[in-house]
Amino acid sequence: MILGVLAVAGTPDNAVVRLADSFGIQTELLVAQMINFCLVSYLLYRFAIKPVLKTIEERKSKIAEGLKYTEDMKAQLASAEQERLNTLAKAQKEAQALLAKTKADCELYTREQTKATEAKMARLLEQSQNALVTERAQLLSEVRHETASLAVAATEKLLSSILTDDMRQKLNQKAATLLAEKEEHGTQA
Amino acid sequence: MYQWGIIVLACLLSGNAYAGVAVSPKPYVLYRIGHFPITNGMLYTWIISAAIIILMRLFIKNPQMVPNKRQLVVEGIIESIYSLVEPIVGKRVMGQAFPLLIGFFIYILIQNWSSLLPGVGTIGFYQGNHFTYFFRPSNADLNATLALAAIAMLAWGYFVVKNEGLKGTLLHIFGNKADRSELSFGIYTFLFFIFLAVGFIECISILFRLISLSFRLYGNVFGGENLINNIMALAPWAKFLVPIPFYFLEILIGAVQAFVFTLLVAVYIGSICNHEEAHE
Repeated sequence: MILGVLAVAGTPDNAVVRLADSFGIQTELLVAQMINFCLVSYLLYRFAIKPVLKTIEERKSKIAEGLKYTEDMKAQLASAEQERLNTLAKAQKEAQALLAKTKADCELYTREQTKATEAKMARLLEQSQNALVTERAQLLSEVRHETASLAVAATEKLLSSILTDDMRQKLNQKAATLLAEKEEHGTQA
Repeated sequence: MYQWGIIVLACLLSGNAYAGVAVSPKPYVLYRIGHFPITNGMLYTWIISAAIIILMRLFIKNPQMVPNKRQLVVEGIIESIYSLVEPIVGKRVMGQAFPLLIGFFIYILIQNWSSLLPGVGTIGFYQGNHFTYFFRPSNADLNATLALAAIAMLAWGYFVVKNEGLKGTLLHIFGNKADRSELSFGIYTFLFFIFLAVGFIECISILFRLISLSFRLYGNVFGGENLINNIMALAPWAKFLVPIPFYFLEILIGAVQAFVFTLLVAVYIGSICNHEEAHE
C-alpha cells in the first residue's frame, strides 16, 4: 500500500517520497524483506513449531488419557471394594443362614435319632421281654413235662407191682389225658 | 563505487565504532547485484534469518514426549503465545492465524536481541571519515518493519475476508450497530449516517496501522541503537561498563516490542473475527 502511495505520490519533491528516501525505503528491499520473513516464518512453522505443537497435543492427550485411566481405576477400585463388601455381607448372611439351618437340622436330626433310638430300645426291650416270656414258658413246659414223666415213671413202677396190665393201661390213658389238659391250661396261663 | 578502507573488526569490548555519532536512520548500501541493493540491514537480516532456522533445527530436531531443556524453552514460548493469543483471536481463527503470529513473535524477538550481539555496528570499513558498518539490526531498518507490517495487514485482510466475508467485513466497519428495537426510526436512521462516518474513520485507522506497526518497532529498535551509541559517547572512560544496564533495557524492549507487535496483530484480527465474547 505504501508502495502504491509512493508510486502515485508524483514528483520527487513530494513529502512522502522524501520521507521514504530519508529512511532508505526501497521497493526491492521491502519485497526482499517480505519474502525473507515469509520464508523464515514458513520454515520455522513447518520444521519447528508444528512438530512441537503436535508433540504438545500428543502429550496433552496422553496426560488426559492417563488421568482418565486413573479416574477409571479409582472408580473400578471403589466399585470392587463395594462389591467385596457386598459379597462379604452376602456371604456372612448366607453363612449365618446356613449355620442356623444346620443348627435346626442338627436339632431335628438329634431329635429324630433320639426318637429312633428310643423306639429301637423299646423294640429291643419288647423283643427281650417276649423272648424271656417265651423262654420261661418253654422252660415251664419242659419242667412240667419232666415232672410228668417222672411222675408217670414212678407211678408206673409203683403200679406195675400192684396193677394188672389192663388196669395199668386204663390208668395210663387217664393220666395222659389229664396231663395233656394241664399242659394246655398251663400254656394258656 | 566505494572506496574500501580498512576493515575494522571491533567487537563489543572495543566499543561502538560510531560512538557519539548519531546512527543513520537508513541502512547503508554495501553492494549491488544488478539493481538490487544489498544493504547492511538486509545482510544482517539474512544472517539472522539463517541463524533462526539453524538454531530452531538444533533446538528441536525430533520433539520428544519427555522434553529436554532446549525443547522446554521452545515449548514454553509457543504455549505462552498460544494461550495469550487464543482468547484474543478466537478459537475459530486461531488455527489459521497462529503460524503467522508465532512467526512474528520469534522473528522479531530474535532480530531485536541479535542487535545486541558484538559486531553489530562495529565491524565495517571507512569511506574517508565515514564509517560504514556491515551489520545493522534488522528492525532498525524501516524496510524490514514496513515489510512485517505489510504482511500483517495483508494477512489481516485475508483472515477477515475469509472468515467474515466481504459483506460481513463491510457491515462490521460501516454497519449500524444500534439495536433497531430500542430506537425510533428517526434516531436509527440518523445513527446509520453516524456509523457510516465512523466507518470511514475506522478505514483511515486501519490504513494507519501499517504506519503505526512499522514505525513503533523501527522507532524502538533504532532508538535503542542510538541510546547505546550515545551512552558510550557520554562516558568514553567507562564505555565497557556504562552501557550494560542499557543492554538489559534493550533486551526488555526487544521482548516487549515483539510481544506488542504480535498482540496488536492478534487484536486487529480478533476485533473483527472473534465473536466468542459476544456469544458468552
